Amino acid sequence: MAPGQKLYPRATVKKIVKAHSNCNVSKNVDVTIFLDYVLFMQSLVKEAAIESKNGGERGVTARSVRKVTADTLAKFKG
Amino acid sequence: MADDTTTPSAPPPRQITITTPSRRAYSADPPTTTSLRRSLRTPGSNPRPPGLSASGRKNQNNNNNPPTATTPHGRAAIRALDSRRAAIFTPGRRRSLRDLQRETPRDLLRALSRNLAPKTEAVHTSSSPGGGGVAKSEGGDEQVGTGTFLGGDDWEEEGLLRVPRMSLPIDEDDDDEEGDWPRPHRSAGLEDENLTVQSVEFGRRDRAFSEQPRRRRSSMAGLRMSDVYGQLQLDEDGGGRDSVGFPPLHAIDEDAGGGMDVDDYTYERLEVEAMDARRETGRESDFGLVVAPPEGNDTTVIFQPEVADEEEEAPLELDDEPFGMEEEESHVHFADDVVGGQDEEEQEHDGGELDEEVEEEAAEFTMEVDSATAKNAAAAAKVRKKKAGVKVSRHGIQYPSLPPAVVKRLAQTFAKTSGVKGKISPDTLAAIMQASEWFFEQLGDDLQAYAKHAGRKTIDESDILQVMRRQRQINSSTTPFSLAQRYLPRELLQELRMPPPAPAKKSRAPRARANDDDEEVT
Repeated sequence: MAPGQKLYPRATVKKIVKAHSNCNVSKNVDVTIFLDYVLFMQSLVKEAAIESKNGGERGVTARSVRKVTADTLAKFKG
Repeated sequence: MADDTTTPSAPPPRQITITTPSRRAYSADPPTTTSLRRSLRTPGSNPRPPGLSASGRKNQNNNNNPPTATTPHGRAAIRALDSRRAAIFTPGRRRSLRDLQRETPRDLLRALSRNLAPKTEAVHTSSSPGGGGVAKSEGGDEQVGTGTFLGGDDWEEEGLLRVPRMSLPIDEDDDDEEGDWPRPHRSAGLEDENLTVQSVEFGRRDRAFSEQPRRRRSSMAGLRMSDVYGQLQLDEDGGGRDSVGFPPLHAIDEDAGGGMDVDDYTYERLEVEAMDARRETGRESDFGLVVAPPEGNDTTVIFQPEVADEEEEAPLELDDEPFGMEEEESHVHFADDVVGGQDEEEQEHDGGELDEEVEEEAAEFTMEVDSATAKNAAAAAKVRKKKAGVKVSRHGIQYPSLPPAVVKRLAQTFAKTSGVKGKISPDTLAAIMQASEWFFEQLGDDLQAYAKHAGRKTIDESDILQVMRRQRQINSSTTPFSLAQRYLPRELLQELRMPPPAPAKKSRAPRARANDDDEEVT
C-alpha cells in the first residue's frame, strides 16, 4: 500500500501548505500532512471507483473523480 | 538687421536667435542670414529640411530657440507652440499657408489684428519687443547670448551630439556658462543645483525609498513575496553596480546621447560626496541602496546585463536549500522541487551579506540605483517566467504544484487496492490533481485557522492532528502512527517517529491511561 520507492517531495508539500496557510510549518508536520493527503487520495480514488462502477464505467474516469471530489473534500474539511 | 523697430542696439544674429516669436522680423529678414546663423549654431543637429523652414519661417526662428528638435514629436510640439505664439503676438502681415488653411479662429484674430495694426502699433512693438527685448538685452550683456538661450532650450530637448566628453573639467561646469554653447547645455541638462541637492540627500532618500517599496509590496502580495522582491532587488542592485557607467535616465532622455559621459563625470563626483554623507549619517535601511524615486525611467533596465540576473538567482535558490536541509537531510533529491518561496530567515541572511557588499563597494556606488524598482519588476517577471507551473495562493504566495508523477503513483496504488483495473488516464489524473489542489488549499486554510486560534504563527503538530481528528481519520482506535505505518514508506515513518514522538504519544496517552485504569480495575 505504501506508495512506491520514492518518497514524496517534502519540500513541495511544505511549500504548498505554507503558501495556502500563510503560516510557517514546523518540523516534520509535513509528514503528517502528507499522511493526511494520502488518506484523502485513498478516499477520493475509492469513492471514484465506486462511482464509476455504479455508472458502468471501466476504471476510474475523470468524470467520476470530479463527481466525487466535492464530497470527499467536504469529508476532509477540518 | 532684420528688425529695425525691435532691436536697434543688439547685434542682429543674436536677436533673431533669441526672439522666436517675432514674426515681424522675418519680413524684413533676409533668409540668408537666418540660415547662416543656424548653420553656425547647430550644424549637425538641425534635421529640418530647408524647404520646410523656408515655407514656415516661424520654424526657422523657432529653430534657434530650440536648436534641436530631435524627435518628430518635439518638432511638432515646437511648431504648434510657435504657431500659437505667433498667433498671439503677431498681427502677422503674412501667415504661413498652413495657418490660413487650418485655423479659422485665428483668421478672425488675424483680421482683427490687421484692422487694429495700424492704430495699435505700439502694442505690437511692446509685446514682441518685450519678449525679444529682454532676450536682446541679455544678449547684449553677455557676448554669448546664444549660450544662455541654448541652456534654456536644454530643458526641452537636447540634440547636441557634439558634446566633448573628456574636455570637461568638472569644476568648470557650473561656472562657465558663457564659454561655448555646448557647456551651458550640459550644465543645464544636469540642472546642477538640483543634482547636488539630490545626491547629497541621497542617503536620506535611500532609506525612505528603499523601505517604501518593500512595504508596498508586502501589503500587496504578502510577506514572502515581498521578501523575494526585496532580495531580487538587492541582487539586481548588486548587478547594477557593475553598470556604473550609465547616466541617470533623465540625462539620457534629455541628451540625445552625446551628453552622457559628461553627466557621468559629474555624477561620480557628486556621488562620492553623497557616499561620504551617507556613511556619516549611517544607514537605517538594511541595504543602503537607493531605490530610485519611482519616476526613475525604465530605460536603464535595458542595460542591465542578463547574466547578472541569473547569477543572482542561483545563490537565492542555494540559500533556500540549507533551510530545507535541516529537516530533510536524507531527501536531497527533492532539492529540484525547491522553488520560489523564500523564508524570512533567508531574506535577513541575504540582507546581511548584501549590506557588507554594499559597504565594500560603496565607493563605486552610482545613481544607477534609480532604476532599481524597474529592475525589480523585470526580475520578478523573470522569476515568474522561469517557473511556469507556479501558482499563487490566496495570500499572494507562490507555490509549486505537486508533481503529477507522485499523484499518479498514489492514485494508481489506491485504484488497485479498490479493485479497479486499468491505468489512470491523463484527464483523470488532471481531475485528481485538481482535487488535491483544492484539498491542500482547504487543508492550509484549516491549519492556519487552528494555528491562529492557538495564537501561533507556525503550524504545529497539534494542528494537523486536530484536523485529522476532525476529519475522523484519527480516533481512539487509530493513531496517526498506525496510519503512518499503513500508508507511509518506512523512511518517512522514521522521520515521523524519531524527532518528536509527540503524535504517537498524544493519541496514545489517553488510551494507555485507560488501559492502566482497566488493569487497576481488574
